[in-house]
Amino acid sequence: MAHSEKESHLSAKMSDLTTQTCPLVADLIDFALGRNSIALGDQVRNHLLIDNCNCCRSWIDQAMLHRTEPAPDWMQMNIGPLGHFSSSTPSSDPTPVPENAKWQRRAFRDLEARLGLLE
Amino acid sequence: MPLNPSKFLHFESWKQLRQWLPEATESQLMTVFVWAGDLKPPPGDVRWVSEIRNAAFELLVERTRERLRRFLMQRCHCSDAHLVEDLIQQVLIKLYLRGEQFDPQRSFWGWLYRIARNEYIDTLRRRRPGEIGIGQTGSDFLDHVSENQIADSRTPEGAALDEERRRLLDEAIAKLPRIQQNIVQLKPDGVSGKDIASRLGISQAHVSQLYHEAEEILWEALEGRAEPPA
Repeated sequence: MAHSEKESHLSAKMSDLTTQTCPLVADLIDFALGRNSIALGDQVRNHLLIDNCNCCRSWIDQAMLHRTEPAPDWMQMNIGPLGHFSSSTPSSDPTPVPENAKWQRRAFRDLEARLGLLE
Repeated sequence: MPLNPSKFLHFESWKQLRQWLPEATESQLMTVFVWAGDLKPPPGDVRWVSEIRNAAFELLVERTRERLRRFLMQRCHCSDAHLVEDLIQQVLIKLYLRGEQFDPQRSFWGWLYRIARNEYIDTLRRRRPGEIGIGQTGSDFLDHVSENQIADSRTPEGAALDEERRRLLDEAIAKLPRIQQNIVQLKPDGVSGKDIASRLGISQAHVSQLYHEAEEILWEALEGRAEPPA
């Protein structure tokens, strides 16, 4: 499963899968760095969430490594790197999240932010 | 209002500049991209400046991706397809963020390939600290050219290939900026980096940088045009 996810991520990146609706790469980088105007930011966010575009998502993941400050929480939750856990519990899963798992998630997010700063 | 991205580029209007962009060379695109990023336009021109800058960068992305992929796989011997794709994106993001470091007097491709190689070496070092030597990433190309030519020349077919390689190499050298032509011609003659620096009036580090950038371009002229095996 993990392998096939990785493969599909790669094929999305390898092929030039830009579509008519894909934002420009410059807009994706600015979005990851928090430099977009509000309107353009909304456009990019909608594209990522509605079109679920892995190609654009990978640009943002890479550009986020250049952020000098931690990404806002909503960005990490919604458009974090593929294969990373989601910060929100899936609504279809009724299993309560144990306290230690919540702590680990916070610590992991903090670590990611710090690594981003080091980069 | 006349628009002058450089000494050699002049446009009468934003529209004219926008229409010209697809015809620009990569070096010209980079010049326009950096110029537009530095502009402080009046409010009425902000949208144009942003459009020109982003369009120039988009064209650079389109034109460089395949060549970067080939460079990383063939020249740097990077066989990890995932890593290659990450590296391409990282190189282009660096181009976006540090475009002002581009010197239009030098070759765009030599500069880009050095960024790619350095990014690859940095990544390998992070993964396997202490294990990475320059030879493992396919450097020192020009040193190998003459050795290969000697080996090839032993047969008639080899001699013909040698002749062809020499022709391609001469053509590629002739296309380099003048300063890099001088360095590439002096170095194999045994002139030291220090002497070359002194003759050209630049630092030794600059000589080394220009030489390595020239190496990448000459590699592409001789070896890098062929498609990688499927």
